Amino acid sequence: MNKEKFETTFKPFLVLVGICVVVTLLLAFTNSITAPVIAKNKAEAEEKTRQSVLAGATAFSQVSCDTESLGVQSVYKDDGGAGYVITAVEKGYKGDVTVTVGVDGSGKIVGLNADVSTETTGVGSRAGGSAYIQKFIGLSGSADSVDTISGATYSSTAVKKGVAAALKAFDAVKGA
Amino acid sequence: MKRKMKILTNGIFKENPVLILVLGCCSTLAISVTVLGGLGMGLALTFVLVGSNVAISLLRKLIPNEIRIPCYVVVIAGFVTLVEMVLEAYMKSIYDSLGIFLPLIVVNCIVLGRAEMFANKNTVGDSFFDGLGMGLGYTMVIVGMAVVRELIGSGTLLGYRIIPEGYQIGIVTQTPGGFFCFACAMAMLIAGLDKKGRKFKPEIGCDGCCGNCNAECTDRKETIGK
Repeated sequence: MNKEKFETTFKPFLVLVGICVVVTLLLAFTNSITAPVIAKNKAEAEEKTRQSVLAGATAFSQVSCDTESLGVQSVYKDDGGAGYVITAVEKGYKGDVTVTVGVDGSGKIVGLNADVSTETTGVGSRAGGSAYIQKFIGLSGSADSVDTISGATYSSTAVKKGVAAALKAFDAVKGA
Repeated sequence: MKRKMKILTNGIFKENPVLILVLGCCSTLAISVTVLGGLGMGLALTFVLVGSNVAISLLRKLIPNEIRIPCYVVVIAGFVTLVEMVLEAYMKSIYDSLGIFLPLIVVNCIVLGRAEMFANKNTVGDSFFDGLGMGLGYTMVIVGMAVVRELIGSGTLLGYRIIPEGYQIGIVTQTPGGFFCFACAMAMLIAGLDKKGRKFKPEIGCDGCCGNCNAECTDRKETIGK
């Protein structure tokens, strides 16, 4: 192999592969440090959301159930008996809308949080605003009585579907 | 040292990446709505710029000319991903406020532009100061615009209310308001750079060119000749 052929054919290949390998190794190292911190932050944020939708709850423990067939992400039960917190993820306009519903022992919605950070600010984000959220508080059984928001149909439908899924899941797990 | 200072201040005033070179405007217009977001974006970009400038300057003799752009992109994307992971882990609020614009630093013209215009033909030290100067220039513009836009548009500064609710001018936080502020900032900087009786003219020759022209240019002969 002559020198010119090496310079034009193999050197670019080797250099690019080398750079990619070094960059990948550095990123893998950083990820190994930051991934646990990110997971911890996320768990703390979720715990805070659960506390906010079910006032008076003391400690949560996860209820094991067939979440996939119920269409929800997770079901938590308050050990103190204040009720259940059910999280469902529904498709909004642009991304996923995470709906966290607090349900008391009788099946009444006592708290609701909808993470609409993926929706359009000022349009779809109204589906996560307190004016819309308040309409669900106190409902039980089904969320059919709440209308969607015109102009933000996708986002508010996501919230509504999330609440409906959570209420259905509650029926399945109550007493468990 | 004087030369290094000149490179540093060049990025801040005479060759300000946003107002004179007019690069990276997309993120400037989008992020300069809140001061905190602007500051976070500016510092994140400065870190990526300094890091990629130094890395590319170190590798400039090793990287073959034919594949230089893919190499730069890999290095830049590496730094951006690093910043992304660190911000998500330790500064979640800034990470959330930057949203999509953080990963988009990868394709920010300032970073790739400085790699191509400066880092690949200057020493590591000079490239470090160039990255720092350009980054600070960007940060100054984005924070300056954010101060005006947040104060007038939302009536707050760093989240604290200064102007009572109902008296803010909402359009300033929207895209058209961003363009107004951008134009005013550009006019102010150029007016400030005008020497007495002599208009300021940006000295961007072939250095600032993307390299696709066939013009005869002493700086770029080595690439154009091939």
